[in-house]
Amino acid sequence: MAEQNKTSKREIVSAVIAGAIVLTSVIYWITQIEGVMEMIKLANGG
Amino acid sequence: MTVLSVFESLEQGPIGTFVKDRGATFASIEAVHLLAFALLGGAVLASDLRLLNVVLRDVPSKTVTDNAYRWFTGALIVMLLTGFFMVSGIAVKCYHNFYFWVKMSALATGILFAYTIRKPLLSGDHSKLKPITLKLVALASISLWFIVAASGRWIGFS
Amino acid sequence: MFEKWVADFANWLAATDWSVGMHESFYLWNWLESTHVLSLMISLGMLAVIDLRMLGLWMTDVPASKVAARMGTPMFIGFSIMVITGILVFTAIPVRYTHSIWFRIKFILLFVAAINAFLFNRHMHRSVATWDTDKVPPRRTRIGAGLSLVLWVGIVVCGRFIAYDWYDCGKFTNAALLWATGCAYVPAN
Repeated sequence: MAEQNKTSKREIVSAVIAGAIVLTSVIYWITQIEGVMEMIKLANGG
Repeated sequence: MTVLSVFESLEQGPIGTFVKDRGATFASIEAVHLLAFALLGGAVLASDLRLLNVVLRDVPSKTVTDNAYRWFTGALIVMLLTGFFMVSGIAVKCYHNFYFWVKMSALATGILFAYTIRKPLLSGDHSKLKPITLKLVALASISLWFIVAASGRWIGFS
Repeated sequence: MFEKWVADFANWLAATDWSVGMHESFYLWNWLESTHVLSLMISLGMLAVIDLRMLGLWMTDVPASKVAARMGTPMFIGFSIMVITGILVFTAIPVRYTHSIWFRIKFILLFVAAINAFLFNRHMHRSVATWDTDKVPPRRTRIGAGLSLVLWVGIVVCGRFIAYDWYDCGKFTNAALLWATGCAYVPAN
């Protein structure tokens, strides 16, 4: 029972950290693409 | 001793001087960096795409991930070495470059994640893990290494 | 003559609106070139796994034909992206590229790699049943796989060196190199 709990805890921690990483990556790419679009608008006199 | 002074002494030291001496030196080191990058990509993608059930679905996932680790580690070591040499050659420029720091953050996270979370998790029986966990771990791994690669390339453009 | 035809084509392409637009774009060329390089991970990464299996160095417990078949699909997707982005990147500065010694060597190596791949696939289809589950495939298989890796290393290195201008037209006078790069056909500009 204790063995099961220990594995479960590691799994949950891994999943949470992995989820946070994926979320951060998505936010990063959104800001990057937004930045590019902003620059293109400026470059074209927008 | 500031971070900037460390970068300055790196560039002015023996390694920085060696790398800057001839244009072909930096280019050759960079080429090796690129080749190791292909190998790292293969190891990461073979492993993570298997966990996402996209490739090699009829091969046990533990076989794929266990085999990939050796190559992942080997490629990573080559990349860290060549990367260190390259940074030495243009250290001050890197210090002032936003994407260099993005890359270093992603790289540090990637290495920590790979060896302290992913590896221990996958060293056990995969069937005992929830599918969602495996998929999240695979996605996180791919995302991190992709950001390392993309920001790395963008250093050259900024 | 071949060189004249190539030079005419490159000059014509360089003058098109498309090429000028690509050349002067703010981000487009950078994104295309980055995609070209990053898709290395997919195409060459998968190829490395396959070739290393054929050399008996990776996933030797898995039948060779299975590795080739399963990794082949993402590999071809990656290659398609590389070819498309490669062509688009080329259209931005066609004159410089066609005269680049690195670009020319890269193309020759690509051609040789394609022939090697074709021969290797034919050999595999004919004989794989006899060595599919061997941890280390027979010599002919290993030579084909090893050659593939060496050629692609050359292709990547040449590809990277294209960006450097050490041997651009006008920067050297070596006669053999002048012939190899077709620089005699570049009008002085």
